[in-house]
Amino acid sequence: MKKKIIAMILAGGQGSRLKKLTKDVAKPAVPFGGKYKIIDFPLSNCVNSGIDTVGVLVQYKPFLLNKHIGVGSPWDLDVEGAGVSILPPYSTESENRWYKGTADAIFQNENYIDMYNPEYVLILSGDHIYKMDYDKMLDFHIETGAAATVAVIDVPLEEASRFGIMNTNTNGEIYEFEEKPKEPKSTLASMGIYIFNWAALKKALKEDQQDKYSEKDFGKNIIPKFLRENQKLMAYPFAGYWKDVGTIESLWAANMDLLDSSNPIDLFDKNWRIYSQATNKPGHLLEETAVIKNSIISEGCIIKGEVINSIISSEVFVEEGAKVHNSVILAGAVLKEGSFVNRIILGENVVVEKNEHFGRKNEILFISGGDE
Amino acid sequence: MLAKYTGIITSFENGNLLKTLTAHRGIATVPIAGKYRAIDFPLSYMKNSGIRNIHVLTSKNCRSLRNHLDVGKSWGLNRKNGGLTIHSGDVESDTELLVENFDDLLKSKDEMIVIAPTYMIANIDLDKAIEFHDLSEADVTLIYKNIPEPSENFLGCDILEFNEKNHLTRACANFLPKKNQNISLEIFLIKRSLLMALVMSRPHNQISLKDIIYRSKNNLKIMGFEHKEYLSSLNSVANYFRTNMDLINSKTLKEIFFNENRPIFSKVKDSIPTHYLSEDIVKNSIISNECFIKGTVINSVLSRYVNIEKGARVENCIILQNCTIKAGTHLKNIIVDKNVVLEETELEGNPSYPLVIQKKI
Repeated sequence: MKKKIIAMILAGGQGSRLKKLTKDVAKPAVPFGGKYKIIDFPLSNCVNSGIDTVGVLVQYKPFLLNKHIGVGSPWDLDVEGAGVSILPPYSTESENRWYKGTADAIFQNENYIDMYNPEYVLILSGDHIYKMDYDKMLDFHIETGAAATVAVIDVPLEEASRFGIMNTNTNGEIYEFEEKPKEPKSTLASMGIYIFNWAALKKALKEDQQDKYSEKDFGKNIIPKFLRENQKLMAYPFAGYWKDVGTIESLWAANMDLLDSSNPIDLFDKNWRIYSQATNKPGHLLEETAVIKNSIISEGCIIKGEVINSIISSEVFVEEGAKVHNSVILAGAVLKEGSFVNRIILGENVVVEKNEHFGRKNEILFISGGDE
Repeated sequence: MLAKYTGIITSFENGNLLKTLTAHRGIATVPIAGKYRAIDFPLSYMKNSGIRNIHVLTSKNCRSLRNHLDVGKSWGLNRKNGGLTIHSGDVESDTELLVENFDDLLKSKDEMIVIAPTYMIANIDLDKAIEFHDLSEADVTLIYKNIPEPSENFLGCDILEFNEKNHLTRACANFLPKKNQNISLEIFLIKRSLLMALVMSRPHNQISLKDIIYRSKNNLKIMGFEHKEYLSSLNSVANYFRTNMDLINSKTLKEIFFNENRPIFSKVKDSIPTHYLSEDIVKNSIISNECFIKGTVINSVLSRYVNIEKGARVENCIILQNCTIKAGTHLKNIIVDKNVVLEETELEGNPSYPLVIQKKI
């Protein structure tokens, strides 16, 4: 079987800055926007870009992610001779192996990729919110004749030192990569999206395995290796919405972006759907006492209280007299009578008791069950 | 319960009952509670009872039904063996259609049959009914609901009388609401071989499956199993309207749709959570996914992809999918069929005779 391109999504990350939110799930399985999980974005982007073969590399607490992806039917990836495969680390005759880094994860799944014998491999991370046509990036990659192409986004200069920065010449060819530079020379940040010629990547991964000082990471090792070897590395400029939701604050803010009807992520765009699992619950019920203002509400909710500037995931119950302001409420949570939350993310299935209050002025709180 | 039953869903109800709502669809696919269709109920309670072979019998015009059911994936019925089979044809009754397709029915090993209609909205605990059937040693178990107070809601339905041994003694149409009426849900549990024998000795082709079973009551032991939860019948526009309005109530809604062991499944669509941009009142309503609400919505049921624009007001309305209600439009007691755009219109119906705005094709 010969494929032009297949995608590999790195979904093993813990996302430790999300703290308790990723206590039980990998970061790509973190909920977003009322019904989505972060990984729905790269998965849907693949399908919408015409990529029908996707490997999802999992490692950290993969159960929910496995369940969410299943056989891939929400993304139409339940197809013969292609489709989505979950790729956990595995043991061999000689050793039990964990993925030691992003590059190692791909190296260990060399056989999976070879099975499809692709010309190009698209490497994605499972923890960003964005819509992107990878097919256009592939065209760019082919036209420029690069060995590898890195998608980059222009970031404000003052933030550039938080990112991996690509320094390019006027043609967009990358001549230098600096991880979190103190004095950035450019504002082109790597989005962690790469297209490689599979033959070139395969060779590089193999050689990198021999380097015992390598951290086996794409950004830290593989890209610099391509540069050292003077292989042609192109920066593919992306303009549009792209959010790394690595912290509670940024996850909350990205959710709030959805409330702005002119936000560029526009989930309502019929030409670029973001697919996810569906619930088997009816639309939400607003009762007599409900007050709803500027909010997003999912299926299966029953709302008797007040919801203002908030994102309510499926099957949330807001009882009479309860108030939800500027918050993200995850699925199955209950807000009992007289409770009040402001500027929080409320965890899945968490019950806010009668008259209980959560929220701080200068910090976004994540409220999880039990030990809070 | 392991599969021993094959399901037969019969959708031969008189389509004229729902007037223009069924001009382009059968009762089986009229929308309920926004995102569901009537046939989702029997499909789901059968699925929830482990039934893996379901035959849908329907009359000629079934484009909408085929479109909704597809290969049955949403109900887990896209099976290699069995699964969902849709039978349609130019026939006079479900009985005739069944006879034509007996071979298909005999392919499965299931020796038992459960027959159900599509116009009765209920979430049946079929496992309990099957358990009852096994213990009672009845030839046929018939599911009914007792309605204690006289109710117009079941006019035209079949009413049943049972003797002290719970054996069916009488079945007739309901023309006069009275106290303590047993309304037939028209759900039958019967041995396949017995059903075949009854059908083969039918007096004529116009007779429906349910009537064949009712009329054998003196020769067979037909026993009643009571369904105690919500029931509604979609046998008139007013009842269709009321059924949807009934669901704007957390107790009823939870009883039907939030039973952990008996969820109701519908065709999966990729829809986005609804966005409220309104400063207006939105209350006492069921709102489906992917609506945009900028106007006022009171006591209403909205299907998916409905836009209520700023300056629009809907009250006591059922708005089916993909409608846009623009500024200056005030609607009360109206059913708006799908794909309709209304602008600068004031319309008021009566809850007993709600006005239906026909589907835009």
